[in-house]
Amino acid sequence: MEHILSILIFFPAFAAAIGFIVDKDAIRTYGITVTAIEFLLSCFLWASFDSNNAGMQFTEFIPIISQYGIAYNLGLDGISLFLVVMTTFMTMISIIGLTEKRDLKNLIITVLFLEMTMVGVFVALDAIIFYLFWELSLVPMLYIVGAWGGKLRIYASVKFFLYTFTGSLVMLVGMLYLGYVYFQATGNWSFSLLDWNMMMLPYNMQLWLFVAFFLGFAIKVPMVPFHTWLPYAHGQAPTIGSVILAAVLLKMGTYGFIRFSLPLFPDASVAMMIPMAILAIIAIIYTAMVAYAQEDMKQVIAYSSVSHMGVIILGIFALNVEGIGGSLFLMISHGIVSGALFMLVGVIYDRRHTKMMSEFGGLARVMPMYATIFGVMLMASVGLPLTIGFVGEFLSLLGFFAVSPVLTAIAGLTIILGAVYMLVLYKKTFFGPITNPLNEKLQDLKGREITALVPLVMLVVYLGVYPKPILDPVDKSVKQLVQVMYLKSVTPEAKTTIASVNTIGETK
Amino acid sequence: MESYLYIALFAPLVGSLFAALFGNTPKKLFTGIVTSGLLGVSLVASLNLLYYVLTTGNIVHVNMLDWIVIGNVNIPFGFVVDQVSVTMMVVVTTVSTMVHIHSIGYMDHDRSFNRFFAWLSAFVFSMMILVMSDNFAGLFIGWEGVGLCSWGLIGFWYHKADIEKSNDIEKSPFSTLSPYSSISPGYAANEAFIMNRVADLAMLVGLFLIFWNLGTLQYDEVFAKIGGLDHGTVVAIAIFLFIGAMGKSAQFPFNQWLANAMEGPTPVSALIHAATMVTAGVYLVIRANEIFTIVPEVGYFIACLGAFVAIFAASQALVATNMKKIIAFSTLSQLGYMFVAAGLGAYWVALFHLATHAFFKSVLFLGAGNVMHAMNDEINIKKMGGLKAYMPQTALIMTIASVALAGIFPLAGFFSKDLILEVAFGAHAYIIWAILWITAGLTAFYSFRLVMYVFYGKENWSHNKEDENYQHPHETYSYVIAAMAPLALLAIVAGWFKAPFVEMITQKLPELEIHVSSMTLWTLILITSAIALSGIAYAVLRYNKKGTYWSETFKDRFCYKLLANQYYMPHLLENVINKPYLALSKFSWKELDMKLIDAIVDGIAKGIYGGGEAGTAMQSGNLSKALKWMAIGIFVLLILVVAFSNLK
Amino acid sequence: MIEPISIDIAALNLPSLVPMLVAIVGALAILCIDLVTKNLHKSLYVMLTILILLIDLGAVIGYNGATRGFFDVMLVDGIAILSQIIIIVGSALFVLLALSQQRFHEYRYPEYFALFLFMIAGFQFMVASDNLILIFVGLETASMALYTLIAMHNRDKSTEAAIKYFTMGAMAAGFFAFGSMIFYGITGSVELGQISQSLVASNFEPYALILLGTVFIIAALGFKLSLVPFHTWAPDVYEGSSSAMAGYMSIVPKIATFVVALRFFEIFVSVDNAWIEMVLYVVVITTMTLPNMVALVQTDVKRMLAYSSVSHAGFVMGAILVGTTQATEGLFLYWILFTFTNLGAFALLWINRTKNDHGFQSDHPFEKFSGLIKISPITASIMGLFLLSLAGVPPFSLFWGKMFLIGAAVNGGHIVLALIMALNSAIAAYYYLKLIVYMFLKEPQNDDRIEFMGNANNSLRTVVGISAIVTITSIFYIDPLLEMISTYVQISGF
Repeated sequence: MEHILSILIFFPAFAAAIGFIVDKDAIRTYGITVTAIEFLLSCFLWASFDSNNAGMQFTEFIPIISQYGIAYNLGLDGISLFLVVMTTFMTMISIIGLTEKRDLKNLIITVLFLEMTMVGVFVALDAIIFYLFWELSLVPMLYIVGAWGGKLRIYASVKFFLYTFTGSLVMLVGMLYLGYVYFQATGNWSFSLLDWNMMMLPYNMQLWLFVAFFLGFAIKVPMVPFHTWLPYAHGQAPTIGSVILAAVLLKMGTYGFIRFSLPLFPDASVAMMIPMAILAIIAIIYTAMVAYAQEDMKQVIAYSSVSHMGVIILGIFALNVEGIGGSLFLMISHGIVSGALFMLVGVIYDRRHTKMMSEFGGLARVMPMYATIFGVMLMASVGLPLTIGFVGEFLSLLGFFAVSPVLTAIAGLTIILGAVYMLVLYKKTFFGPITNPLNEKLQDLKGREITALVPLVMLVVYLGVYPKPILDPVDKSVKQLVQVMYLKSVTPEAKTTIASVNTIGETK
Repeated sequence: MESYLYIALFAPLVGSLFAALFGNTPKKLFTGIVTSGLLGVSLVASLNLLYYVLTTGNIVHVNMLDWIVIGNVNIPFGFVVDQVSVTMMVVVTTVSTMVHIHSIGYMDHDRSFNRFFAWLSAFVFSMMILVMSDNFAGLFIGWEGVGLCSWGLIGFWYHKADIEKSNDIEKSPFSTLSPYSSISPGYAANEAFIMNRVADLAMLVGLFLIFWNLGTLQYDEVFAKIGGLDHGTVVAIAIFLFIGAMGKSAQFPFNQWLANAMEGPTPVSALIHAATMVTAGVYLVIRANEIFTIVPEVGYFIACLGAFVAIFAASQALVATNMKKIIAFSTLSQLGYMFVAAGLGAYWVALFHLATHAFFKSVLFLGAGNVMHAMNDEINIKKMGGLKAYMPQTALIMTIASVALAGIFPLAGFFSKDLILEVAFGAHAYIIWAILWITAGLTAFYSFRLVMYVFYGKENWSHNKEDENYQHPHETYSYVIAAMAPLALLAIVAGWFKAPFVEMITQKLPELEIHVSSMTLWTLILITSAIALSGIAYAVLRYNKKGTYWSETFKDRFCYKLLANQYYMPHLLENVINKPYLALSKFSWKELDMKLIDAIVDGIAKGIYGGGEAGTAMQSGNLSKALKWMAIGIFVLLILVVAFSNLK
Repeated sequence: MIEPISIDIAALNLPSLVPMLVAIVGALAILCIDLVTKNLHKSLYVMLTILILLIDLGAVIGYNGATRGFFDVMLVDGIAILSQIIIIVGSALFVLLALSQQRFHEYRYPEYFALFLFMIAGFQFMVASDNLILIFVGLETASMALYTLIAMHNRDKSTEAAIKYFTMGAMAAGFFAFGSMIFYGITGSVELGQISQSLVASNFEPYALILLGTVFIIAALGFKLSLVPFHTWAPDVYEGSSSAMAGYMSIVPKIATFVVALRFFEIFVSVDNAWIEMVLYVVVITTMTLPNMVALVQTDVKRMLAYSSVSHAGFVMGAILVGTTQATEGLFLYWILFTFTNLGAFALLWINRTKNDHGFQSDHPFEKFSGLIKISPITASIMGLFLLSLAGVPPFSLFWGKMFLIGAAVNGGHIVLALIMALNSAIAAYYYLKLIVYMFLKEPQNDDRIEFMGNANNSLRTVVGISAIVTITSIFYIDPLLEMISTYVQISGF
C-alpha cells in the first residue's frame, strides 16, 4: 500500500465533502461507517507496520514549493503510529456514542474534517505541512465548541482559537528560522524534519528555537500557566468536543515536543530538563488541587487532564527511553481514559442536563452499570496497576527518577492527589443515599452508550495487562530518538547527561 | 507443580468474574457457593504446593508472560512458590475459604449478595498475586489490587449517609464509644485508599531506587546484588519499602484507616483487616529480609515502631465499646508484635505469628459477626450481655480465640507471641520487651472484657418488642459455625506445628539465634503467661463482681477521652490535613486560577482591544482633522530627520 | 544638466507605450459609442472594457522590447510587467462586478467605464516608469479618475468620500511634487536611476536636504498606500464608495504605488541607509498594528475590512523594508493572493448589498450576518473561507503569502519584525473570527429587514467563485506562481 498515509488523511475529508449530500437522518450511520472504515485503515496500517524498523515508514514526498523547500512529506514511526490509531479509534467511538440532536449533519461533517487534520498532524514530516494541519485543526474545533457548546461557548471557543493560534504563530517563526538556518548550512531549502535532524545547531540558537517551539506546544498541551483556555473549552464544549479535545488535540502538543524539540534541540532540551520538570510538577500538583476544588464533574476531569499532561511532560523530559516511551504510552492511555470519562459525564448530562456534583449522590444504586464503568475508568485514571493508566504513569515517573529522585518523589504526589479528587468525585456522585428525587428514576446506560464504552473498558484492561503490542514499536523508535539526541548534542555536558539518564547505576 | 500454582492463583479470579456476571442482579445463592468452592480448590492446590515444598524443599518458579518491557525495564508476570509464599498462600486460602462460607450466612439478607462475593474473591486473587509474585512490580500489582478490593468492600454499603461530626462522645464518628466506626462507609473506603496511596508513593520510590541502582526488580537478582550497593542507598531503599509496608499494615501514623475500615461488613474485616491484607506489610519485610538484614538500624527502628504501635493500639482498646473497633485495635497491636519480630531479624517468627494470628483473629471477627448478625447490627458491647445462653457455639469459639490471642498455653498465640518476647529479650531490646510484656497483659484484659460484656453478665437489652432496644438473639446457621470450626481448631493447634514449620522455613529465612540461658527463657515464658493470665483473671472477676470496669470510674477524665477519641488522631487528620487542603484547593481555583492567571490572559486581550478603542479617536471622519494628521505625519518625519540626521 | 537628445523613432521604442495606449484608445472608443447611441445597457460597456483589458494584457505580456523607451521615461522591466498584469486582472474582475443585479447610478454612464480605463492607463504609467514626472502624471490621471468614480456612486456618503479623498489627494500630490523638486534640485535629474547614481556619487550629501525630500515622497506614497498616519482617509472613503470599489481601491492603486515605493526606496535600501530603515520600521510597525487594533472595535464589516486592508498594506510594506529579493517576491506573491481574497470578500459584501440600508446605522453591520450559516450556508462558508484566508489560516491562499513574507523577514535578519508580523496576524485573527462567530455560531435574528444575496447574479457569483477557488486551491499553484514572479523580479534586478 503506497499512499496509505495520504488515504488515511484525506479519506475522512473526502467523505465529509460528499457527506453534504447524505440525508440528515442517515448521517449518523454515514459518520459511523466512515470513521469505522478509517479505523480499519489505521489497523491495516498497524498490521503492515514493521515494528523492527525504528525509522520512518510509508513515507511519501511531493514538492509543494520547490524553491522554498516545502514538500508534502509524510511518514510514520513507532512514535506516531499509535497516536494515529488512537485518533481514528477515539473519533469512531465518539461518533458512536454521539447523542447530540441539533443539526447533527454539520456536526458529523465537522468531526470528519477534524479527523483529517488530526491524522495529518501525526504523520506530517514537513514542518510547514505539520503546521498546516496543526492550525487547520483549530477551525473545526472552534465550530464544534462554538456552535454546540453551552452558555459561554463563544467566549470559550474564541479564547481557545486565539490562544492556540498566537502560540503557534510564534512557533511558525521558529520553523521558518530553522529552515533558513538549514539553508545557510546546506545551501538548499528544506523544511523536512528528516533533513533538519541531520544538522547540529549551536547551543544559544537551540535555546531560542526551543522557546519558540515551546510556546506553540505548551499552549496546546496545555502546561501551567498557559492552561486557562482548557477549562472553558471543556466546560462549554459538547461531549464529543471534549472527548476529541482531551483524547487527541492535547496530545498534539506533547507529540510536538517529542517530534521537534527533543531531536532538533538536544542540548536545549537537556538544559531545560529541570525547568520543564518544575513546570510539569506545578501542573501536576496545582491543577490536581484545583480539580479537587471543582463543583462541576466535567471541570474536575478537565483539570485532571492538565495534571496528567504534566506527568507526560515530565516523562518526555526524562530524556531516556523509559520516560519518553512511558509518556507516549500515557498519551494513548490518557486519550482513552479521559475520552471515556468525558463520555460518561456526557451520559449523565444528557439525562439531567447538569454536571454539578451537588445535584447527584447515590447514583450507584440507580445506575449500577454506569457506576461500574465509571469506576473502572476512575481507577485507570488514578493509575491502578493492570489498568492502562498505570504503565505510562509508572514508566514516566520511573524515567524521570534517573534525572532527579527528589523531583520525581514530588511529582509522584499525582498518585495521591489524583486519587483524592477522583474518589471524592465518585463518592459525591455515586455514594450515599439518593438525596435528589430527580435521580430516583434515572435510566442506566443504554444501547449506544454501552457499545461506545464497553470497547474502551476492554482496552483499558487489555492494554493494562499486556501493553507489549504498543511498547515494542515505541521502544524501537524511542531508542533511535535518544540515539539521535546523543549524537547531535554539541555540548559535552548534554552528552554525558543523556548517557547517564539512560544507564543503570548508583542513583541517590 | 506449575498447574497447581496456576490453579491456586486463578481459581479465585474465575470465581470473582463469575460472581461479577450477576453483580447487578438480585441475590443468587450459587454465586456464594461457587466462589467458596473455587476457593476450596485454590486451598487444596496451595496445600499440595505446601506438601511439595515441605517434602522436597524445591521451589516452584514460573514466568507467565512479559508485562512491561521497554528500555532497561523488563518486568514479567512471574510467580514463585517458596517456603515463605507457600505459607502465606495456605494461610490466605484457608482463612478466605472459611470467610466465604461464613459470608453466605452473614450476607444472606443483603441485596448485593453477588457483588459481595465478586469483590471478596477478587481480593483473594490480588492477595495471591501479592504473595506469589517473584518481583517487586508484581508485588505492587497485588499491593494496589488488595487496596482496590478493600476500597470496594469497606464501601460496600455505599448507600449509607454521612454522619455529621459531633462533640458528643457517644455519637461522634471519631470516638470508639459511638456506634459509627467512621463518617460513612464511602468515606472510610476513600480514606483507606488514599492513605494507602500515600504509603504506596514511598514504596514506588523504593522500587525506583532499586531499579536504577540494580537494573531489575526480580527478587532473586535484587537480593543477589543488593550487597554491592553502598550503605546509604540500601538504607534509603529499606526505609522507603518499609514506609510502604507501614501503609498497608496501618502502622503509626497510617493507623487511622484500619479502625475506620470497620464500616465494612464483618467478614471483610475478618479476612482483609485482620488475617491477610494488613499483614502484607509484614510479608514485604519478611520477603525483603535480605535488604533489611544489611541495615540493622532500620530494622531496629521498625522494631521500636512496632512496639509503640502494639501498646498504642492496645491502650485504645481498653475503653472502646465498639466491638469491631476493639478487635481492630487488637489486630493493630498484634501487627506491632510482628514488626518487632521482623525488625529484630526474627523473620520466621514474624511469619509464624502472622499465620497463627490470622487464624484466631479472623475467627474472632467472624464470631463478632455472628453476634452482630444476631443482635441486628448492634455494635456496642454495653448493649449486649448474657448472650452465651442464646449462642453457645459462638461464645465458645470466641472464647477460644480470645485465649489464643491472649497467648495462653497451649493455644497458638502462646507459641508465636512468647517467641517474639523472647526475641526482644534476646536482642537485648529490654525496653521493647517490657512494652510488649505490658501489652500482653492489656491484650488479655481487653479481649476478655469484650467476651464478658458480650456473653456474660446481665442482658442490657430487652425481650419486649415495644422497647427500642428490643433484641431477639439467636445462634447462626450451623454451616456458618462449621466454617468457623476449622479456624477455631487451628487457633488451638497451629502452634503445635512449630517444629516442622521452622524446619521448612529456615531453608529460606535466616535462622533464629537467641543467646539466653534456658533458665531465663523459662522465666520469661512464666512471667509472660503470668501477666496474660492475670489480665484475664482481672477482666473476669472484676466483671462478675461489679459488671463494669475500672475505666468507668474516670469516665470524664481527659485520659479516658483521649483513649475514647483514639488519641484525637481523627480530629487531627480532619483539621490539620483535610480542611486546610480543601481550603487551599479552593483558593488555588478561585483566586489563583480565575483571578490571577486567567485574568492576566484576558487582561492582555482587553488591553489590545482597549488600544483599538483609543485608536478610533484618530478616526473622526472630519476632513480637517484628517488633514491635520497628514501634517502631523510630515512633522514627525521632519523631527526624525532633525533628530537622526546622523544615521546614514 | 540634461544633454540634448536626437529624436529617432526607432529609439523611441514606441511598443513600450502600447499597453497604455490600448487603454486610452479604448476609453475614447467608449466615449464615441456613447456619442453615437445613447443609453445602451451597461453589459455592453462592461464587456467592451473586458475586451480592451484583454488586449492590454496581451500587449503587456507580449512585450519583448528593450526595457527603456520613449526618451527613456518608460521603464518596462519585470516588476513593471508583473504589476501591470496584477492591475489589469484585478481591474477585469472588478469590472465584472458592475454587472450587479440591482441597477446602480454610476453604471448608467458610459463615462464611468471610460474613466475607469483612463485610470488603468494612469496606473500603468506609474509602474512602467522611473521618471518622477511621468509617475506624477500617471498618479494624478489615475487619482482624478478614481475620485470621480467614487463620487459617481451618488450617495451623500460617496460624494463626501470623494471630496475628502480629493482634498487629501491634492495635498499628497503637493508633497510628491515638492519632494521630486528637491531631488531634482540636488541631483539635477528626475529619473530615479540617475538620482540614485548621483546620490551614491555624492555620498548622500547634502544629507539633511535629501532626507527632507524623502520625507515628502514618503508622505505622498504613504497617503496612497494608506500608511499610518496618512491612512485616515481610507475607512471613510471605503465606507463611502460601493463595496466593489472599496475592494478595488484596497488592491490596484496600492500595487501601483508599491511599485513606485519599491523603485524609490531601492535607492536607500540598496545602500542600506539606517535612517530610512528606522523610519520604515516605525511606519511599518505602526501601520500593521494600529489599524489592526482599531479594526477590532469596528461594528461594520466594511469598515473592519477597510482597516484590515490598511494593516495588510503595512504588512507588505515590511517587504520593502527588508528589501531582499525574496522579500520583493514575497510582496508580489502576497499581493496577488491578497487581490483574489480581498476582492472576493468585498464582492461578497457587494452581493449582499441592498439598495436602501433599511435604517441600519451602516451597510453591513455584524449583526446583519448573525446565523448566516443557517440562512444561506454557501455564502457563509465562502465568506468564512475568505476570512480564514485573510487571517492566514493554512492552507488558504494568504497563509502562503504571510509565511513567505515572514520567512523573508527572518532570512533578512529582521527576526523582531517577523515576530511582530506574526503577533499582528494573531490580533487580526480576532476580528476576522468575529464575523465568523456571527455567521456560524450565533442564531439568526429573524429581522425581516435583512435580505441576503439581494445583488447577486451569475456574473457576480462567477467572480466570487473564481476568487474562492483561487483561495482554496492555492497550495497547488503557489510553486509555478513563485517561479513566474521570481523570473520577473530577478530580471529587473530587485
